[in-house]
Amino acid sequence: MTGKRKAVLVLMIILASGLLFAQSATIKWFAFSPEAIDAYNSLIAAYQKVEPNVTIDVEAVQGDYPTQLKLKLNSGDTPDIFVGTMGEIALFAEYSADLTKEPFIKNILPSIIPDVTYQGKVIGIPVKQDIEGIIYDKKAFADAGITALPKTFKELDAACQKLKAKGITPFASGFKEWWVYKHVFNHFMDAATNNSPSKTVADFKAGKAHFKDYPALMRYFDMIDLLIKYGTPRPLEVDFNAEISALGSHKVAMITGQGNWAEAGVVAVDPAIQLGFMGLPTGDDPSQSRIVAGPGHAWRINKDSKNLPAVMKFLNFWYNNPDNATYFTDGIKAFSPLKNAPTPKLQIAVPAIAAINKGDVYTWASNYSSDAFHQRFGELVQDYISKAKTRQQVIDEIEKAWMKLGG
Amino acid sequence: MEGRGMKTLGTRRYTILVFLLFILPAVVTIVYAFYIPFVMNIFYAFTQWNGIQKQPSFNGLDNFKEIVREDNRFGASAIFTLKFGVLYIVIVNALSLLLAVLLDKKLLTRNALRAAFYLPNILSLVIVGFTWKFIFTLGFDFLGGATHLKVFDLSWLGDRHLAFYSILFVSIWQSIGFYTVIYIAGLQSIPGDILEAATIDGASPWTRFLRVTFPMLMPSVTSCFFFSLISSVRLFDVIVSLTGGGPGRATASVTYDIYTEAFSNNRYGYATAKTLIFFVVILAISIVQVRAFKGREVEV
Repeated sequence: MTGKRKAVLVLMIILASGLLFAQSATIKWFAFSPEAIDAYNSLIAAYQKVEPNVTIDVEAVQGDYPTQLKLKLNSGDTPDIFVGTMGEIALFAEYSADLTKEPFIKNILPSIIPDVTYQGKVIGIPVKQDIEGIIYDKKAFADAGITALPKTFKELDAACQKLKAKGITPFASGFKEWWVYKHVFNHFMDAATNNSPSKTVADFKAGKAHFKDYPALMRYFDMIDLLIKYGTPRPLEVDFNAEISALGSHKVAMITGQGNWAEAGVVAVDPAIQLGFMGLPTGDDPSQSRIVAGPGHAWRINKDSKNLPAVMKFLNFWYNNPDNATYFTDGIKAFSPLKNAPTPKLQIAVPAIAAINKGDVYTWASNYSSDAFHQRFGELVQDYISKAKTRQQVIDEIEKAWMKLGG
Repeated sequence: MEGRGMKTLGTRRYTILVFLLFILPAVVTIVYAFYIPFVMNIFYAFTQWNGIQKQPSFNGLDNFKEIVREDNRFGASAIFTLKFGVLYIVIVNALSLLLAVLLDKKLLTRNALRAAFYLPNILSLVIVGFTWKFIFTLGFDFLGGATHLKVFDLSWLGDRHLAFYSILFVSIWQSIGFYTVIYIAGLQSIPGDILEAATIDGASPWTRFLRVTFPMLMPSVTSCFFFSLISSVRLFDVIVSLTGGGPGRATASVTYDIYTEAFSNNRYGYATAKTLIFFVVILAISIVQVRAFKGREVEV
């Protein structure tokens, strides 16, 4: 053989062996919330100190997560760890591994376990617990002379008048985003069903319930009217980023439909801002103005993963290791789904934790319907805001969509 | 070679065989990546599948029945696409033809202008969409504060009617260079002596354009009309980055409606049925358009 051919052969052998050695366990983690990528990476770094032979490939996507996940599932490239909403537990059941007997499951708050159980098996891991309500600028409230937090529509209206008198725009609502609408709707669904929405949602999905039977639900549209009346101009152009930067730059006093995930963005705009957190009034009863708290998303583990033992080890480290407690509280800045967890280092966690401990909170009613329905819901309320449809037309379309897309 | 024992191919059959072997890789790729999925799609149109279950379930003509009877969003998106298509094709062709005529004259800055008009076309549509979203929202906020002109206070992306024009404008802005280039090439291929002959015969510049230039430009017009028809029908990237189909579905084109049906609503089978209907309509329009234009071409 000539020298040149020998060199090529050697190179090919090196390449081939390189490919062979690359077979050591790689865990593919398809995550969402790209703002938490630093938390994911430090978790991986901490794990690699314990298990250096495992590579964890994390990919975090926000906008098109459902589409990309479907592409991966259908092309055989199923990730080892992926995420879905709590309401979609049954949807991914074919792909989810049974976790009932894993040690870390015992570490999760027992109240959440039923939400991730399907046909008697635990097939999801709660990602975190989120809180949602009205985040407000304490200084703006003080400047306007608002001393008591508004708990009814009348009080909220009066508070907004005081803010306007001081030249402060009361609200920024990210009405360009479809999910803001479902977050605000949670409060009204819980108020209408005394915080037990599951049967009512099931009735709506079956076409047996109607908005007119629940006067509390109709007040959702009154809230939308109020948010528009006291909100920024061109509300349908305000997306999530515009909303949090409006609060951070003191252009508005309050934002709605947001929670723990939003604080980091606001504080990034003004690190000196003092934030308060309160429930959303749902009518004339002050006891029905609460914050929403609970888990919203669950990780699923690919049942057919080639690295199942390695993935389970990683999960045990992630959810079962006391050294890792700061991942939830400081890393992803949310409430942990684990037992006996510390409070996250968020300004808005302080008022929230008191309410959570008293049980004076509302649940994530939106978990009981699919995101497909909620996206349609958001579009329809946008039609209401832009006056393309009347309130009754929107309600009729919502009821139809609930039957068809509710999941 | 004829005296040998082995069978030899005739020259003609040999040529054909070599020809087929050369195009084989391309044919295999196209069949695998295009025709096979197309046939599979026809199968999926008759199923109910959410894109996640491992087995789609057959449901006969239910999808098509639902499209015809109940789907008013599909109808609305079809009307949007039609309105957009007509306006886009007419405006982009008229403007780019005008630009081509102007840039064909001997201006000093001709090359720089040609480059400037073509530049938006090399930008990715998604970048274009996000840049213009920034201009329409924050940019206009600033300009409105600086100039106090009413036009900057309007909700260009939040108002149902204005959002349509925003999308139309951005699409035209991005693609006009492409058509201008084609028309310039067409203009330059017209033999100068015919135009001179027309001038000598007493034709005014407008008559010259209408009776000589335009008929000889017909091949370019056919191409540009065809391209702009395809572009307008394929409208998607600009919608996703500029308005997300909003507000409230007002700017959803047929492609966007199908995409959300498949991937947001988890109704892959139903969306595929819509795609089939869309395909048949576009095929019919294309055939009609090409036939109508081919007949009017003038060759020298």
